Amino acid sequence: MSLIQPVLVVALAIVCILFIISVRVRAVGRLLLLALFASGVAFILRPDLANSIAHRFGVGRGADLFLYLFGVFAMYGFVRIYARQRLLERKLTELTRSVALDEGRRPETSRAA
Amino acid sequence: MGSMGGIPRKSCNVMVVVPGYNEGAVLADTLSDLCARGYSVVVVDDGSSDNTAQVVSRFPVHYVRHRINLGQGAALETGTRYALRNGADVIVHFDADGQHPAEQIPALIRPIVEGTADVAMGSRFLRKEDALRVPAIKRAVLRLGTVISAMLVGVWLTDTHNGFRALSRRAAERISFRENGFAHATELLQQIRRYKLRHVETPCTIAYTEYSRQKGQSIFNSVNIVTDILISRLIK
Repeated sequence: MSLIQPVLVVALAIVCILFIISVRVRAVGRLLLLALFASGVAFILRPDLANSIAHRFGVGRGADLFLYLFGVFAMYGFVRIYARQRLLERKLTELTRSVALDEGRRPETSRAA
Repeated sequence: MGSMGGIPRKSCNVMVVVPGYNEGAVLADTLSDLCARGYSVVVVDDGSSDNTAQVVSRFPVHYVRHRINLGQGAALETGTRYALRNGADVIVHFDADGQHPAEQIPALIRPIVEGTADVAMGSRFLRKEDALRVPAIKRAVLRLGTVISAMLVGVWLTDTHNGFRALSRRAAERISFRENGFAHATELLQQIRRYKLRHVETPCTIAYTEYSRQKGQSIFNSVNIVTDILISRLIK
């Protein structure tokens, strides 16, 4: 076993624990996370597993396959975050506008309004 | 004050929307000019951190304030909603920084008051003497802007990012700016087309003061505007 393997397993475990603590996850989510963790550990301990899957997809190395998948998921996450940010911006605008309109001040010496 | 440039005041409730973000230094001149002409004004303070509120309190104008800075498009939208709530028949968009000519409001709103248009937009390019006042580089960028917005939106104008405009009540009830930034000008054109609003361009003179040159949009900002519009088209 190379040094990187236990380091990765421990890091993965810490991330999973932090995720469960900080984000309220439902039972299904926890099971999914556990499955993800198990497969992560499997790929760390048996790099040849990733390689053989990669070969089936016509990719040279397991590490490359993971890089490609990571790229796709990262882009998906980016788009999701961007859309969410636009939505939040719109809600914030509506909130700010309604407060502004409610607090609007009319001229004291009222001319034709 | 019975009439303004031949337009009877009683029949038509005009409200001038003045959005401003940290424009306290120049706002007083703009407001005193508008008030002297008897206009009903609403200042939209877009979360300013300067003395805007203090300046506004010296004038008989309506005042609404965004607690946080949202952008010019958002401020215009808020001001327009406010004007509609207060029974305005004609809504004028007017820059706080003194670039826009208060004496040209009657000419701008005339087609709306007479019922021949729903949206009237000031243009710096209808009269040669106005066009020559625009700095040469800016003129070229604005020209390009008219071509781009014509291609994107399908509305041909001589001047696109001129904030001096007037909306009829009917138009203001339909149009809503969702782009908080400067892309709202292009958004306006999209909605003019969508709601089949009658629009007209009116010649106007823009004063390019040292202040407005420093504060005005950098020409590089036009890249941002085009990007915003393209993204909003993709997302919708």
